[in-house]
Amino acid sequence: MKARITRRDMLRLLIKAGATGAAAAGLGPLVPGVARAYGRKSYFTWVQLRYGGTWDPNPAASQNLLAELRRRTSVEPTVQRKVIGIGDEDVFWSPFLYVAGRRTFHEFSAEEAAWLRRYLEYGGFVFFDDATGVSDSGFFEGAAEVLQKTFPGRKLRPLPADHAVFRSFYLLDDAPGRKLVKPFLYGVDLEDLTPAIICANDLSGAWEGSSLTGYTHQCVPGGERQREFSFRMGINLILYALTGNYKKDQVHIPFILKRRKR
Amino acid sequence: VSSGGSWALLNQSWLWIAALSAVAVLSLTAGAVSSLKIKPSRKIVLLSLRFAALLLLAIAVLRPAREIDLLRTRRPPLAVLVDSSKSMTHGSTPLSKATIDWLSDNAGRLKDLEDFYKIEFVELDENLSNIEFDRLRQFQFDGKISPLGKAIEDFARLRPDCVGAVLLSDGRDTEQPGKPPAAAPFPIYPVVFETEAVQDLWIESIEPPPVSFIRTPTEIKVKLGLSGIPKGQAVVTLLEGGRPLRSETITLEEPGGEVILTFNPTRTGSKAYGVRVTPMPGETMVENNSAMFSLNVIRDKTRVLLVTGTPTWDVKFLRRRLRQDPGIDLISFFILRTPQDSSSARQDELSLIPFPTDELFNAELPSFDIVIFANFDYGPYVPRRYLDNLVRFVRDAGGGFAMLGGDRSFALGGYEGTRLEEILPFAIGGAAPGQRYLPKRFRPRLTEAGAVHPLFRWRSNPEENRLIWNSLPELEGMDWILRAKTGAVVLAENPERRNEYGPLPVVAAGEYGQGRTLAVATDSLWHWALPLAGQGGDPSVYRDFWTRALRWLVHDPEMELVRLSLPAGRIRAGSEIKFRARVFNNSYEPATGAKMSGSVVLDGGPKQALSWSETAPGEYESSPFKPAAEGFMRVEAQAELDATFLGRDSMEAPVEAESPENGRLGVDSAYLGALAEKTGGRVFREDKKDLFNTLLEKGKSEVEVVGRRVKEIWPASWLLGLTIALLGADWALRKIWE
Repeated sequence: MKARITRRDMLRLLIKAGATGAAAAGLGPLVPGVARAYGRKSYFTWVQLRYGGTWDPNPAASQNLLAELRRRTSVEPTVQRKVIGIGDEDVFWSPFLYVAGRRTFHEFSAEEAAWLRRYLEYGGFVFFDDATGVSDSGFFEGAAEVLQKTFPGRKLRPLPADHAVFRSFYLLDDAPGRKLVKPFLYGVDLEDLTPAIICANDLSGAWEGSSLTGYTHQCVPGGERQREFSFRMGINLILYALTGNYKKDQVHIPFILKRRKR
Repeated sequence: VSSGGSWALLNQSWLWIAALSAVAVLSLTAGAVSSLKIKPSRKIVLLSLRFAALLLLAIAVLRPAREIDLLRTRRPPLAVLVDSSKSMTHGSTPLSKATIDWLSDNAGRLKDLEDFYKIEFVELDENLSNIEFDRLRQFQFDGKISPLGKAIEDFARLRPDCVGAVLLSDGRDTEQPGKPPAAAPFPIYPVVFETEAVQDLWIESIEPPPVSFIRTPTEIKVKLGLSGIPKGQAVVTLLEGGRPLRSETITLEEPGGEVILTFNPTRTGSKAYGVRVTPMPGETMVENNSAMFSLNVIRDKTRVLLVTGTPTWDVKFLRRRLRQDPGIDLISFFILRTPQDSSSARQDELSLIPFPTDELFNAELPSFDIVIFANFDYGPYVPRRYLDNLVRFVRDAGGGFAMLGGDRSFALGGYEGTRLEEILPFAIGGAAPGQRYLPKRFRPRLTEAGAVHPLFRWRSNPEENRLIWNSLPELEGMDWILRAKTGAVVLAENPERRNEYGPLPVVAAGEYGQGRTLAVATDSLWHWALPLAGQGGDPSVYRDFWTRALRWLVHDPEMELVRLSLPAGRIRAGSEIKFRARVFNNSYEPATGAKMSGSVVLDGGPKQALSWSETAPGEYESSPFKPAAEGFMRVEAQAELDATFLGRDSMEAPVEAESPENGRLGVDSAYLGALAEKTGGRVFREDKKDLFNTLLEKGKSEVEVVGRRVKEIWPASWLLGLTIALLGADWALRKIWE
């Protein structure tokens, strides 16, 4: 699917084409996708799964999140997201896979489950974003069933507050999105990592829109503060996919505990 | 010999006693009645006769006898153990002379002991041998070693019935210094001679730990002995291959002292070290101021420091691989935010910690085995002076260093012209700024050296290995590399990009000082993990590559195809030794028919070539080598198979002096005392005679009863005859006097 050109993309192109220095300086921190120098490569590509139905409930959300990722961290994301289908071997070239939905989720066949299992076992990461905004939705149940089929015998469990995903960049206590249906994230563990995580709070719903025209959805119940934390959660998810649980290395623990006590 | 004795009745039957009593009563009563008319004086005579007859009858019937013990002296073995080592001859009043004199002076007393003991004179040497007493004057004290403890244990096995031993020795056990024998089932009586104190400072013992861990503080305890010299200072130095590692100054007074030298071993395997003590004024002998020992250095866990300029998939997979290996202790740091990034949060809302530059690149650096810079531009985070520490870490401490590529690495990381560039196997200059990173995909080519290098030896079969290589996914993006440095080995190159030196190298390995370095000019090796799994390949390739790379970086002996071993035990000058080598082919199977070469060097002297013969498949033995003098010995061996170089190995070992008898001088009273106490004996002064009194007393108690003899006083026939005669006289007199 062709990505929609947003106002932000347009601004980026203008700046790249040499628009006024003042405008560039003022908007720079909010503008995604500017290559810093020739040869600078991207380290992160947003890959989204297309499975039919409501696979893309918030089409501009990833752009906004990646802009914030670039502005706030040392990670260099690509401008455009990449869309792949179920069973597509291209997924193995991208260890991050985003899956969203507003209604139900696709029921995986045995081959499709094997495809996902091989991807996750060899280092891939999948994030299911339930955009329904209701508890125990069809999408959430469908994602849980897929994971059950992919890893029979492994339980989907709420991730504890000290899980590395809550401290991979920001120190967070929960995972708010457009809604706060369930404060926890849910995940399936493999070795000492959690390669599959589900969020029930419509994270991408909080990211959808732009800071210039306004965000598409209101965040309930926390408003803009909640939106900020949803961006932080998105950044933490990407950094968790990139770095694993290195924040749990002994050398980091005293620092993190000290800040938690404040 | 008979001794003592006691009385006993041979017939103790109560019937006989009762019958005798009845006869006595009847006889005396009848006698008294029948002599009523006889004069009283005559009556007394008659009753006396009858009483005497009854007494003789009782003796004849009850048979009193004397029982006598028959005794025998056992004469068990008693040993006189004479230490024949050369150390007995040192000093102005040598113990050897004192020993001979003492034996001559006490010849008579020893002779007296022969009534109770079989005395055996034994030379305490490597081989126990008997000495003839008459030839003691010509006895030579020329033993090259003093295996006192072992010799006593051997003697105890040979003479299990020995009841004691007189020991004439200085108590200097050169083979187990400071340790009394494990067991002696008889008491030992050391004789201590009064000799003039020898002026000497010597190394009493060196106590390294049984094993030591690489890059971990290791304590070497050195005990020093001092005799005949006033209190003074000495400098104790620990040497590695003749190079000073650590020195300590110690103040010494009799009987000596100890010092602990601490250092961090930098290489695994068996290594030779030395200890040297500065001589003190007036020393008799300085040869014993230095000594050597070997230390077995092993690795506990491989400690890896991973520093990453930015989170990338390459580092994600590398870290995942390192975490999966239980033999690796990983500390990893990611630069998650650069000075230009704005986190939109207070500091206490971030999990980021300050980059601990000083701890990592100064204080704690020596504790790591490997440092990996993954797409890390040091400039904003690490002061340039700390790069010098990394150079020393590799060059002097034998650490491993790897630089992984990316757009913040090599030239783009600002390393051109820095000290760190010195240790890299790549030269990294020579490209315009826009050409320093080549973003295209490419398929690397394995070089000839790479095909046989341990890093890429994924399968034992070379053809299978080649098929795996050809099936690998393309890599993406690489740093511009000028060329490989002299001595570095290029393992893989990019055949699609060239410069004036040829195809651009992608992977190279090098040695720098004692350490090793690895350079990978791309940050896309992770394609050998997930993308390879996606195309149905064997993703263990990625794991194997890093396993091999890390083991190679830390000089893991198991990665070597040639593995040398030294003969067990101490190596002494003048003794012939042979070295052994196990050789494996590229498949790690025993290499039969390998072409071996090697050499041995003693203390930096001329190389002596070794020839090798195969004793079993893959096992080779060198020609004999006889070290001429003590010193550090370094032996090297290398192997070729089918004209292909397999590998080389080297080892170090101390060669001790031909004779350790110059090691310690004078009498070790503590050793002799401990020996006596442990065996239930006692130390005697040479001028005291109580040694012989003690042995005599002990000897007299060594008698045994071998039988018992019974001697009757009078024969029964005689007694019966005499009884009848007395009764006849009684009857005749009675008739006359009636």
